[in-house]
Amino acid sequence: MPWDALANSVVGAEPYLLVAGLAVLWPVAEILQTFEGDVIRALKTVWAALFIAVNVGFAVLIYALVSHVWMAQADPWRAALVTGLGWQALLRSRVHLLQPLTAEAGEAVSLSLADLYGRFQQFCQRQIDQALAMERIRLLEKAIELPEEVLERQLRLMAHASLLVPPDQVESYIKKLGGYDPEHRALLLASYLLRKGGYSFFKKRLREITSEARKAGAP
Amino acid sequence: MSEMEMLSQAGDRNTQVNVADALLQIAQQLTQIAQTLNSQGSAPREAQQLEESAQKLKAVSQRVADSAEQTRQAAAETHERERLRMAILQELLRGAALPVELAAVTLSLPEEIQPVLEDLEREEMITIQSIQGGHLIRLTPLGRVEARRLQSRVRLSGLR
Repeated sequence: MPWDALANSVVGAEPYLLVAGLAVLWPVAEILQTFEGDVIRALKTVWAALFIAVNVGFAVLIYALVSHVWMAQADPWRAALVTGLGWQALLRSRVHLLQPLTAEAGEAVSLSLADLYGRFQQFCQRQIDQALAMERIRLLEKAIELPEEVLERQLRLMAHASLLVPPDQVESYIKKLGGYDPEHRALLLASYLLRKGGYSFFKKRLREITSEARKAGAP
Repeated sequence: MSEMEMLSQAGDRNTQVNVADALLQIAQQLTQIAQTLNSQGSAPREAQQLEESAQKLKAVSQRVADSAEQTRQAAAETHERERLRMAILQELLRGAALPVELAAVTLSLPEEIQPVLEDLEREEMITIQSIQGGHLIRLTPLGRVEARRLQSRVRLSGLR
């Protein structure tokens, strides 16, 4: 008997899963588009989870309302599909929740779903950006402790491997950095490696270089 | 600046250089004539006047040459700014960046990208947000559109 109840509840939950699945697609696509260079780390942040969760939560809530009030008993799958797709589209369209009766009242009174969603989206985006930047700053702080020649060598290797930057341009840049103090120079070299190689690659390389240096320094 | 404007500026500069060269040659010829007259001793006053004219022409030629050099430097600066602007916008498509990252990835110095960032902020292409430990630069929706436009233009020119 408990198995039947469980099976029934799983079958009953399937349309909700469809709504949730559809609701995940939109915010994930928005994150993919905004954080092209660092998608995985962006998706791993708390703020990305909150952004996706709010999207899913609202979609499921709307489906629950629709299914209780309206037509879901007849065809729950269709209701789930319509809610899953329709709600996301509605959220991003300029449907006004509050519209002033007179034009003089201005836009201050006007309130649209897209505005609200846009503000929430921007807030989450800023928080994700900030979280990613803080991680990068911490990595740069570690990187500038490396000997300068190691960073220069890595830069040369990376630039030559990419084929996009002519070697003489890299050499003249290294020369141009000669006017800076060593820490500033190391920061710029490390920033190039971080940005061009990506966070994960640079972190891994940093770990390898540090352990190589330790081994070389060990008696 | 558009390619046409840059070409036209380059044309102006070439004209200035040609004018400066022509003036200098005329001045040299006048000096030669003055020297010949002096050596013959036939018309010392005219020779002196010719020499004075040659000196004035040399001065004018120098001014034109200086102006051509200034035009060249201004064009080079504008070109470099345009290159940095494109590179920064395209880099920001990959996500927000610290100023030092933008400087490094465009193979320039932080002080070189500073005016470009100020311009882009004024044009509402980017926002500069203060965060703990520095500033974070990100594209605005307008900047994103511009960056994508530049990216497709670069791709198209690569295909041609």
